[in-house]
Amino acid sequence: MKAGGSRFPLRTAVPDDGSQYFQMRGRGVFRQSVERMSEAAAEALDRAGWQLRDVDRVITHQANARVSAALATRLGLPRDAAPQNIAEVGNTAAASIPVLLAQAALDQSLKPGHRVLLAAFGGGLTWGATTLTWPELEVHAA
Amino acid sequence: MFELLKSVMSEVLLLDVDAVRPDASREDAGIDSLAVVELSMVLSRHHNIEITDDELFELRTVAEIVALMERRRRTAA
Repeated sequence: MKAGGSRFPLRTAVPDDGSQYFQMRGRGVFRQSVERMSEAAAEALDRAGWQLRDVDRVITHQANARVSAALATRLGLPRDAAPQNIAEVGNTAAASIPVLLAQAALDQSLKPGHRVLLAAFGGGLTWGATTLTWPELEVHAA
Repeated sequence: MFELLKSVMSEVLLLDVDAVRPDASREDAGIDSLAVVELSMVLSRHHNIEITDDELFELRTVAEIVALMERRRRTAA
């Protein structure tokens, strides 16, 4: 989105030529997000000393349901290993992985001892992945 | 090759293969702008068929996709 940013601050009325809207190369971003998150996931698993078969859940940034599903496919994991909540809560930006972890823990699809792979992709472009073992936690509904 | 496309669409893309007929348009078959990326990645990674998502996106029918898959597999062999 060109107009309204720091390089083109709006001092007049909002333009109506399309430059006021976000633009994204959707297919390129989709491909990059799946490929980069799977590379980062492989590196995170390697650092943890885990194999893919050790992973109980994959929790991804909830920007796009298709990206999460494609990532699970790419990694060779069943799609039900990758819970989603974007249909209910939308893209909650930086909160999306913590919100999904909390919901999965509440509905008990995520249990103490589960080995979890986290992966995210966002503006920049930036991406990352890490691993954790879900602890014994008392989780309360909001 | 048509059967390979159908199996990828049902097992990987989770699309309804009843809509996949040779004369169906790409969009009627459910192969939208993101599905062409998935299809491109899966064909390359698992079937040694290199077709870019830009190329797939330009094709209008399932038959055209199958024809290009056949040409690219022959080229790769």
